[in-house]
Amino acid sequence: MLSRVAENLFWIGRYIERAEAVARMVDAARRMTALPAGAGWSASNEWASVLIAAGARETFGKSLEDVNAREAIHHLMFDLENSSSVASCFTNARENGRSIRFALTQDCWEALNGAWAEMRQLPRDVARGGALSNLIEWAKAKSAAFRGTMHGTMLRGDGYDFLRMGMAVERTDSTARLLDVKYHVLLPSASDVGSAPDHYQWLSLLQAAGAQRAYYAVQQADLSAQGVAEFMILEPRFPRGILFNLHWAVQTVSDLEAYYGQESACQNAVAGAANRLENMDIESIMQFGLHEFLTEVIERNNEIANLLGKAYGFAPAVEEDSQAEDAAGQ
Amino acid sequence: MAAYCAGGKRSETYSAQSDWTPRFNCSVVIKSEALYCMSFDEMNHEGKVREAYTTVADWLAQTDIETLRERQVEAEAIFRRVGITFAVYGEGGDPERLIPFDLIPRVFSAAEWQIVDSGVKQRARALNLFIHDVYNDREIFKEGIVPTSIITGNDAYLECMEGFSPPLNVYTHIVGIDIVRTGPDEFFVLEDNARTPSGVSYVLENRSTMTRLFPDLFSSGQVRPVDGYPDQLRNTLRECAPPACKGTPTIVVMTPGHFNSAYYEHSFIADEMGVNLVTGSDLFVEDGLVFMRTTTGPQRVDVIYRRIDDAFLDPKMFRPDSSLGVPGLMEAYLSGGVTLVNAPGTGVCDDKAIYCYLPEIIEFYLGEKPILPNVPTYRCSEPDSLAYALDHMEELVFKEVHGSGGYGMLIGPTATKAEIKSYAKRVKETPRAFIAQPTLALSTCPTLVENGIAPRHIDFRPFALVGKDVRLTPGGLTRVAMREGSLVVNSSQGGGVKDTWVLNT
Repeated sequence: MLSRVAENLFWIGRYIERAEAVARMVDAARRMTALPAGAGWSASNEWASVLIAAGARETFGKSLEDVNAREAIHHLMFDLENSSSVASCFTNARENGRSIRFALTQDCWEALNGAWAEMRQLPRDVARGGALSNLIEWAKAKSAAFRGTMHGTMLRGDGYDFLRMGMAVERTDSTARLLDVKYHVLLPSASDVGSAPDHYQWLSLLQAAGAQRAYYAVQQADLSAQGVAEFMILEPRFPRGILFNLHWAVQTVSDLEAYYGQESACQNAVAGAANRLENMDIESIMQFGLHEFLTEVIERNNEIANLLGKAYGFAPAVEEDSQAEDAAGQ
Repeated sequence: MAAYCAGGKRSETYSAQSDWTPRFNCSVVIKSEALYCMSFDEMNHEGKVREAYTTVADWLAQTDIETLRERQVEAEAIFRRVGITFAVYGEGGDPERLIPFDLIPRVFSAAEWQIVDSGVKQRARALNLFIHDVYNDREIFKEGIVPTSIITGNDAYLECMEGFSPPLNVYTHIVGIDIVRTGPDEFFVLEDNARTPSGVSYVLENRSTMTRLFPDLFSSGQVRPVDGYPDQLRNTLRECAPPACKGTPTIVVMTPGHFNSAYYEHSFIADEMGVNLVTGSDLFVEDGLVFMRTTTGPQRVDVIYRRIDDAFLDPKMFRPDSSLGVPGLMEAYLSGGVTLVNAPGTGVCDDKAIYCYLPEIIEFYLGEKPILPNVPTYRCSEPDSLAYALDHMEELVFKEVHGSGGYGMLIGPTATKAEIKSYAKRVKETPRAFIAQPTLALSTCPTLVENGIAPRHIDFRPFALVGKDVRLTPGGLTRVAMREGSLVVNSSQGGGVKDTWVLNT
């Protein structure tokens, strides 16, 4: 397989997951802002925190002091200037697919192309009641539709593996970011920790991750900050969890090794990252500092992506320019 | 390229024709006047349905217009979903457009196809012999049959190709010959496309869409299949493997990228042949050989079907700012490490200045009369022709010698006085940049339009493949000027496409 094809498949996997992850972050903020505003802290905080966690602080281009909800939602859902907005993700996934058109099954291509076409027709006014939830549900459904078609139609081989690697890497990244949203939502004072707003914020995160029921089923305990962090980082059965996705990456790299009949230079890094988490408990993570820990997870995860690219010859990203428009006549 | 027609005026459409309209379950009334009266109609000639169109006419008679429209919508949905689009960037609006697909096929009888087939193959052979001569012995110039000036002033001429002979001496492996028709036995070649002709994906996709929507039309087995094209192309490319290739050649299709208007076709062709679609950045040259970057390391490439213009092929040899090419590619090619298809520099044979010498070129190399004649052409570079052309601007069509895509033309019969005046000024300034041709009454074919079914002008582009043999798939791309009275069939100018049938009998 051409290295560029592998790279594009990897990025399709990432963008499809990122679209869903950003939608889920927006959902978390939506749920948080629906809480009764407590004394002394403004609802704009949630939007600022999601902008930071989604890596959109710079592209947002405005002060995060007093964020306007509509502007934040627009930037996170529709703004093509923000390369991680839901619209950008579906556009990029589709562009990546279009440039390797036949490395995907017809069904996979139609899922990408269909999501993109619908996205261009979506109502942009999310001020109406329920409009934002519909939009979030739409993004999650389109992401799920691609995953479903992919699992249902793609030949099990290197192409399928590169798509899955993109998904595993992106989910690790996005779950770390989703958890980090809570870090950036600054409660007015330390005494608010454990207060009702604090509790609701953790609950919102769980709900946005679609993990509320699973949490109670597994933890068998009341909601607590530590419990949520433990579940989302260390629970090996939760499919958006960090450990789960590191295990998924280990398995996928093994599949690639089996497919090519040779060892992969990135297996050590992937296995190492999974191993480290297996040997940690939530107490040591909290002691280390949740934000610091998550930052490290994100950095290690980036390293895994780089090593994967190196192992399979991904060329440095070359932007195709306008020359392509007129380079073939007749 | 462009097609055009002019003639007298009439307001008649198919609905007014006597013998098959009564069976027609739709009302067709186009009030405005069109320029169709001089034109030969492919289906309905002298009050009768021509034999080759019996199936089509029966089908139209049995199908009401609403059904046709529903199917038209279905066809467009298929094109949109599959992504068979034509990319138009930088003009605003939808960046990916559909080429209008008309459901009513254009049909060739076996006898008509015989003419087209032999004429196209003859022309493809002559073009290749001519290019080889241009870059080697130049006998045709020594004999004084073609003036040398035609080469020396030609941007498409590449000095680096001098003295080089590509495998099998083939330069233009994939040739698109644009043909127009003006009467039952009158076919003319309008233009040769010897560089990177596009459109063949529509030949295959149009047929696949038609068989999906109307399987019954094909059940009699009368229509010859077109799906052999990818195999024929693969075989042609294999036959042209370079000297350095031992064993089965590895073939790739090279695209400028998915922003290119013909990108869908590039990826479609690669997929149909089962080969990789590469961009310049996927390839590199080492020790005079070409490799592609794969997940298991570098892999040798022997034949590159490139769909990128000469100027962008190799920044070391041509445009240094090209980010789409491969540095060192030309050196690898000229030393026999890889085959480029079509060869660089083939453009010397397909501009409009060379075009008018094609009859002489065919006779010189093949000792045969041209089977498909040219449209008579006035070269404005010659004083007598220039004088005649300027005197008859209202009747003639003017084209730029190096133009393509239907841009930069003047259609005398439909132009305003002011347009003619300003165009004449341009012609007088640089006469050698222009040719003029009489307006032909292009044939028409029934077409589904807003008001029903009406005649629209068409042309035709078959794709010849030149390797050890010259191969021609029985079919090609029929383009149709969808706008009433329009003479321009180019997709960039709002033209549409039709399925093209070649019958067994």
